[in-house]
Amino acid sequence: MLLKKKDLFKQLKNFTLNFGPQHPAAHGVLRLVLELNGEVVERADPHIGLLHRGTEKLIEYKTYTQALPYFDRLDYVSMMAQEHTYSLAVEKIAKIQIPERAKFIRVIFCEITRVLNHLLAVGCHALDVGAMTPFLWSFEEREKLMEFYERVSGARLHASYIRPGGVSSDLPIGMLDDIFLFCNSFIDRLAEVEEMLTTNRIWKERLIDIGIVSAESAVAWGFSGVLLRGSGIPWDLRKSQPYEIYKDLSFSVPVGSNGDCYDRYILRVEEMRQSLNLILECIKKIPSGAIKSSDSKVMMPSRTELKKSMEAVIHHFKFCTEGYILPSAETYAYTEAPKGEFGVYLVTKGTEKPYRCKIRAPGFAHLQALNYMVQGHMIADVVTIIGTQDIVFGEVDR
Amino acid sequence: MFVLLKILYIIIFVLISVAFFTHAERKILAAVQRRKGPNLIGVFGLLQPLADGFKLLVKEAITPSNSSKTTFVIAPLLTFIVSLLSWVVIPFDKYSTLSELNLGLLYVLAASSLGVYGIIVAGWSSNSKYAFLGAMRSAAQMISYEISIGFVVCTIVLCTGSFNLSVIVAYQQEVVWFIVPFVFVFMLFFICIVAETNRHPFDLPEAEAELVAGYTVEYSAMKFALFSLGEYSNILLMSALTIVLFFGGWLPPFDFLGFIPNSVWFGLKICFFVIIFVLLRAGLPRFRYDQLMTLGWTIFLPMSIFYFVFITFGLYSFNGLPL
Amino acid sequence: MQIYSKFFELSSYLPVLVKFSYFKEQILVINKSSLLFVLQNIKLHSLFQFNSLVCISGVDLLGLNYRFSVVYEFLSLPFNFRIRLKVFLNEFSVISSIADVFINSVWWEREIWDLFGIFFENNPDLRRILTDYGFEGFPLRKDFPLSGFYGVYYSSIHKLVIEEPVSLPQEYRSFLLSN
Repeated sequence: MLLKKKDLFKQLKNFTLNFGPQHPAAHGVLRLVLELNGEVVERADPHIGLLHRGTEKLIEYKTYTQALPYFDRLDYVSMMAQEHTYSLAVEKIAKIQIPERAKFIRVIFCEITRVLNHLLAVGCHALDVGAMTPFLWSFEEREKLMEFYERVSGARLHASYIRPGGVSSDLPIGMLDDIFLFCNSFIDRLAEVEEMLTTNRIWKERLIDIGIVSAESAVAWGFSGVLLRGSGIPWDLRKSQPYEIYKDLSFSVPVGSNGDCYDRYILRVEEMRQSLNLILECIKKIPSGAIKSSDSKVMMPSRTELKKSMEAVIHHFKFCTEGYILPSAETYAYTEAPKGEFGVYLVTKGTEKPYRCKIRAPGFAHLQALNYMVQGHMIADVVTIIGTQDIVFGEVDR
Repeated sequence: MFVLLKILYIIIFVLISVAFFTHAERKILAAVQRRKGPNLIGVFGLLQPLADGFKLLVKEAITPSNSSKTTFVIAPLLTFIVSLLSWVVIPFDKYSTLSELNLGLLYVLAASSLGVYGIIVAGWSSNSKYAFLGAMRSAAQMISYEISIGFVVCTIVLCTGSFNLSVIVAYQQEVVWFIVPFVFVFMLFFICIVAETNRHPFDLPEAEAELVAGYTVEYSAMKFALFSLGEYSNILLMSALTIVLFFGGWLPPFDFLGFIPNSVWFGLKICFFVIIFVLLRAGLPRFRYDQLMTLGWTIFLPMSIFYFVFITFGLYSFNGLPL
Repeated sequence: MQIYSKFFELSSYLPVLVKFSYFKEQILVINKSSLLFVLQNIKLHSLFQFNSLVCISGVDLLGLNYRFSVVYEFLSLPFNFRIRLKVFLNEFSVISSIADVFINSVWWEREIWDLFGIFFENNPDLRRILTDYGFEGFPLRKDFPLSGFYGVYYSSIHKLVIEEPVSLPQEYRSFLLSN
């Protein structure tokens, strides 16, 4: 019985590697099924949903104030940015104005959040690529920033501080001086991290020409934030569709040219510097005054008020039990979160609970394009690209 | 009888140095990263390696059910034994080599080549995709950089005319330490050594971020400890080789410092190189595998061949070739 | 954000059912059959140029005839303008996927399929994305209870991860405080 040569050739299938949920570099719980041809990746299929906590469903069963802490826990490295977006959404529907001082405090903390996020992004990216020292230096700086979070709200990480109607409590005395001192010393720390990485030949070889995204693809894939600016599109929501007091502040927006991982890394470091400038400018310009909106239905009245007026007691009671009722409307609020455009689509129906709260997380849109970005790269580059997209699974899976 | 005692002496000293090397690495890394390393166990954490060794001894050794059991156990043993083999020819003092082989350098190169077997056997017997990939890459990396090391060694041998390590040190005592004329050759050699021992920045095969400990991924407890010991012993061995070839072995840098015993100088020089190894790990990102191999074959190999040929012609034209 | 004044003129050429605006946001309600036509227009027309799909959300309006609404949010980078498009569907209707026009819509539509049960035809990759492998039901619908139907947990008796119907010892109390 002759064995024909054509029967000897088997069907070739790509080698499938499960870059599993438990992996030191998977940035959380990402199950990535990679189809490899040798070491080159042909296809990457991310399986997400391993951290799905049902946030949107839970929000539908809570009042507006009770729903606020959920937003902290979405992107757990840049907390106040999401609270800010939600507060903007509620304030738009409730049509309340917040005082100037509250706006300045919000901007200061948003920029502190941006620095926090980029420190972790750059540090963890470096750790995945192999440089383990900037990671620990960045975390030391994050500890100092989290001390500010704790002083102002009581919690280092999940501070439900930015609320609809302003902020929950005023800055303690001496806080702005400490922020100023921090900003002055942080510039040297940033220079140290940059010295370790930016001109390092191995770093440049690992990052340049990896994960190149052209400008049209970036827009087509719905990128926002650093990924869009890295490909050359000067789009920053703080400049083009400003909210809060960003139109009165002067800062510049760095834009990349090549669209690769190295450009995005440089952008993040430069954005940290611009955030420092913003914080210093806000500290100079911050007015004194109230930090909660005067609409007592939305924000709890202060304790001195409670002791004086009957209406304040009634408002306090209604606020703590029922919450406030918003008219039937819908809105989409967006901010330039450190990772990109974070949006909240809020539908209300005249009750004290949100009817539907859809969270548009930048990480979800970016992870979608992972297959496109890793085409033709090697396994080691997959880790680099996940790091440069700055994926945090709290917001991708909600 | 006496020989057995000497062997035991060397083995014990090497093992103790390896143990404290692990501790030194953690402490130096911590100092670079603005934190303290282990400091709870013993003064300055000095008993930490003891605690680590004890933990690894009593840990449960898990053997994967689909692995081939005998080779699974043989692999770490092989790595460890081979890494201890080369210590017999290293000269610690003028008359303190365990075995003065006339082909000492060749013996060291041969023994380090045997180390590749341990890795391949480990990766194959683990019966796991990750381990296999890691072992193949590790083995390929080791043999690529061994060639450049071979050429550099040949350059040194050309100058001295002997493969005997004690003769090389004696030559450096009379003439000059080889670091002075051969600075670039030394730098090339040092980088090749870092790559040969699978050390950061060339440690992609065992990197956490990609292949999670590479060929040792299925090993636990004492078997993993043996791999670790073998790797660190290899690092110390290669540092000792660098010192013997370039830095004058056990010679003090200046004659007036001769009151410090020679073996202490040897130890101090090894400490210097250990610190450099650790600082390389602290400061640099990792090379990707194809960049690593490109570096080894297209940059280091031509450079080492070029130096070899250049030195040959230089020595020939000045009638300086030995014999 | 400035209201793009020509927008009202131009959008009158599109087959729009209703057009309204909340808080300076432009919302268009369209028919699901004219979805692809409208999208190609607003993406490619040089005076619209809505080249970035920001988000697709689903809303369950229980009690209405057309129970679901799929909300598309677009952003025009050249003109710095946002627009929202709504399509109303009932439980049995099938809507066409916009993956040909906007490639990043695949995951958003997968999410809506997974959480609401709205089928998108021509979606290149319609599978579950956020819920567990083997989950049954569509969680974000209003008739799906908050506690779900099945709970997955590790049982120390069986030494396995098992799936059991949810049994709440205390009933979930929802306080309707609005009078």
